[in-house]
Amino acid sequence: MGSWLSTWLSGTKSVYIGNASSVRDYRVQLRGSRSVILFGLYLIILIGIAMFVYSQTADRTGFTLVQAQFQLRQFTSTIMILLGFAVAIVAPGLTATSVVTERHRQSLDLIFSAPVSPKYYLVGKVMSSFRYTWMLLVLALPITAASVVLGGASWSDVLIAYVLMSLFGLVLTSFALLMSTLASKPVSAIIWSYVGAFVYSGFTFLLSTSYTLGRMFGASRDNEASWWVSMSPFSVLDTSHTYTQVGSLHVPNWIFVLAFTLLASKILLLGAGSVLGTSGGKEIKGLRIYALIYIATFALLPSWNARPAFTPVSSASTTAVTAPIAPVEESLRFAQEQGQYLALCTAPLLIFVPFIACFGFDREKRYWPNGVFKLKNIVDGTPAGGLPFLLAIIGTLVVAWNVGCWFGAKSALRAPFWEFAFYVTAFWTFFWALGRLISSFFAGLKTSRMMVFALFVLLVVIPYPFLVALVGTFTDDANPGPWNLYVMSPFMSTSDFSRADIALAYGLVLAAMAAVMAVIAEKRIRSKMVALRNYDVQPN
Amino acid sequence: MLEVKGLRKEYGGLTAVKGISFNLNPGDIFGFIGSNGAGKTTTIRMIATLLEPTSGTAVLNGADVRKDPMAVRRMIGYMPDFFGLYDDVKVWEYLDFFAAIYQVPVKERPGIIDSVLELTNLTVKRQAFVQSLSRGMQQRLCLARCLVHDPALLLLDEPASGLDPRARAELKELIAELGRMGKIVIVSSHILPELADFCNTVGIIERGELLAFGPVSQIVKDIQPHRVFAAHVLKDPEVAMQTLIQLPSVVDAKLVDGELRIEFVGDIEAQADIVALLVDKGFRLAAFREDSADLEDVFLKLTTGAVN
Ligand SMILES: Nc1ncnc2c1ncn2[C@@H]1O[C@H](COP(=O)(O)OP(=O)(O)OP(=O)(O)O)[C@@H](O)[C@H]1O
Ligand SMILES: [Mg+2]
Repeated sequence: MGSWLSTWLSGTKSVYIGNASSVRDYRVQLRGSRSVILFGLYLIILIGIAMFVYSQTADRTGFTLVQAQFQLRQFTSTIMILLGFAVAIVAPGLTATSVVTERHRQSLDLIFSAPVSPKYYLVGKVMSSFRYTWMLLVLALPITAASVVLGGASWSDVLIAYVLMSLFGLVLTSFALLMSTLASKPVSAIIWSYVGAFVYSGFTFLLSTSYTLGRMFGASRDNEASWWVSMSPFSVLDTSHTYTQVGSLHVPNWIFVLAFTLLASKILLLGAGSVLGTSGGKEIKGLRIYALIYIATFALLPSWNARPAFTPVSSASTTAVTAPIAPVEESLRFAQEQGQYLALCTAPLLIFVPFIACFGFDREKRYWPNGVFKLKNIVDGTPAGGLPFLLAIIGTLVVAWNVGCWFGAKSALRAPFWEFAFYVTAFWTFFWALGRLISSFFAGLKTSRMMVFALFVLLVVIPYPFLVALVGTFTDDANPGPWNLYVMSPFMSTSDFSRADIALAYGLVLAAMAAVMAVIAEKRIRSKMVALRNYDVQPN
Repeated sequence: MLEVKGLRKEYGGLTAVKGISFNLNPGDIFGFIGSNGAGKTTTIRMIATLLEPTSGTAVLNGADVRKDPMAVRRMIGYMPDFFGLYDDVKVWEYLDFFAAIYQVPVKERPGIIDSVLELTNLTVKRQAFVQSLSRGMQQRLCLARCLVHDPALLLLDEPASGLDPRARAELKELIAELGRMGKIVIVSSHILPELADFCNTVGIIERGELLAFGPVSQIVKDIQPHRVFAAHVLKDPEVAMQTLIQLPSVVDAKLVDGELRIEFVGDIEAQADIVALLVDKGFRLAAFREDSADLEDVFLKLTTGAVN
């Protein structure tokens, strides 16, 4: 026990302290005067803007104390937005090229023929770019401190803001690192990292506006709010005091954000590690098992809080209070709503399915066809384990959802939920089969993945605005006809119970099509092998 | 000791390495010969734990590349057929980085860096930036990098490509020195003369199959059991041929392109007897030289030039 602990400790210490790749990056970063100039420039800009904003507010006289307070808070808020902006700009930019350039330079092989685990390497990379991001925050301390001294914010505000800002930077860094390991060109790594940063900042900002706007219009004077409102660094000051009630405890939301972002970063880094991991597949195993655990955890959150409208327990209900409905009907409605919710929660599979379904030529191992469905490959990242893992994801989600509803709403989910569960399984199996079919036509793995992604957009995303234009309504309550031809039509209404039956029908059709495609793909794999043989590889 | 056991690598439908096995002992310098695409790099990368074998394995001093890759990595130095050098880094920093990665204790690093720089003749370049070195120096730096952790096995994938003759000779001397230090060295190449004279073991690989393995002399003997001499006789070569065949030391004699090819067993005295006989009998002997097979002949004989 003691020796195990000490090995673990010394292993962990060597990963985080004196990490060689971080030390080397540090040396390069500090070489010359580049970083000094950059940081200097940054400070000048920051101070300049701060002085400008401050002079705008301080110029005017005749404020009441409350107004002055408000202005100061506004000022601090501006500074925080600037900081968040700086992090969003700098973190992806620093990280995005780090792995892909090493791949280009071919120094990755040198590192991974040494006793270096992907974890050690990636942690080193995170540290070397995170150090920079942190410098930005630290350099801004005098200004944030000034706003505290002036009375625009409290120290705890600043502290929480710094924690949330760092976490924001950590997520962006991890994402950029994942992109950097996946990309084959530095440019695409940069572009995708910024796209990710943009989407993440935008999405978290939208989540937080639900709260900040609500407050602005006086909807809620309370500090209780869903934890995700605290994710955005841009509204840090407004959301830093929010909490979530757990039992009788008021848990500050930033603690949830801390847990969530650490886990999310870990998943992203495990993803990057599994791309880098060349032998044994330890990383990909870790990634897949963690993914299942996290899916289960996060499925419990919404399902536990879900309440059918008729139950008296509903306090923090997610469903709008409607006119009294008969309990039976209400429980059907609830089941359908939960089914729809569950199905929507699988949306991130859009990114994963092309990865687990496709096979073909890539730089390295793993992606050669080795069968259609083999349980023993479920976590090793080979194509034969793709479908088992996909089913495991959906299965975990469904089970966790039921557990959540059982303990939260004390009700078993009825048929409509299961119809949706079937629908969503068939839906993703369809894209899995499509991935295999496409892979059997193309030698390049990237091509196949991009094609699956493109076809998803073509079949699922593009029809929507088209149908809206055609029918003239957003949902089909008025004019259901053409909408029923759309694969997403099971989501088009929450009040119409027949949606679940449409889901079932779509599920059957999609499952049948998936089966056909999978069979054709199998037949084609032979010719795929010939394509591989002739694929113009110029390995080293 | 390195044991390679049935190592096999498939890329989809293509089998790049078809289950090869061999053993090497400390001090062995193994020349791995094969034409382009024969599977040399694939084999070396599997031994270096960079590529997972489809089946089979390699065991270095008891550590299995599949079961304990980290232990194997600690014992190997892998030099790929590209440099993979970092920009903006000085020579000593580059070596220090790899020493750190190989978990060489901080205190020992300066001494080790000095000694590998000395060994590879780069001491004067200690403070130079890596990108300012010449190609040959960069190559030597790569070799130096492989040595910072005193590995038991060196995997050198085409180390001599792009080197001038002088640098090549120096590299050979260096590799021989490493062999004397008791390391196992695997050197891959498709340039045969480069290998023959300093490898004590060679392996010939084609289309993923190991066609021959063993000491150079042994392999040559397998292909051609006897020594061969070529004699250029200006007049009546047929008669000379008949005369020679009578000798007990001559196994066979043929006329090829007007030249006598004498397959021969015997010592240096018997060799002198042949010359004496030809001269005594009045044949006008214009030239007499040994024409035994070398590695190149073996290679050409064994391989067909087919590629995967
Ligand atoms: N990642 C890969 N995917 C598919 N096929 C590959 C891959 N890497 C190598 N190959 C194939 O494996 C075979 C052996 O390649 P390898 O690089 O081992 O040859 P080599 O002996 O090192 O050749 P060279 O002398 O040109 O370096 C080749 O036919 C090559 O096309
Ligand atoms: Mg090669």
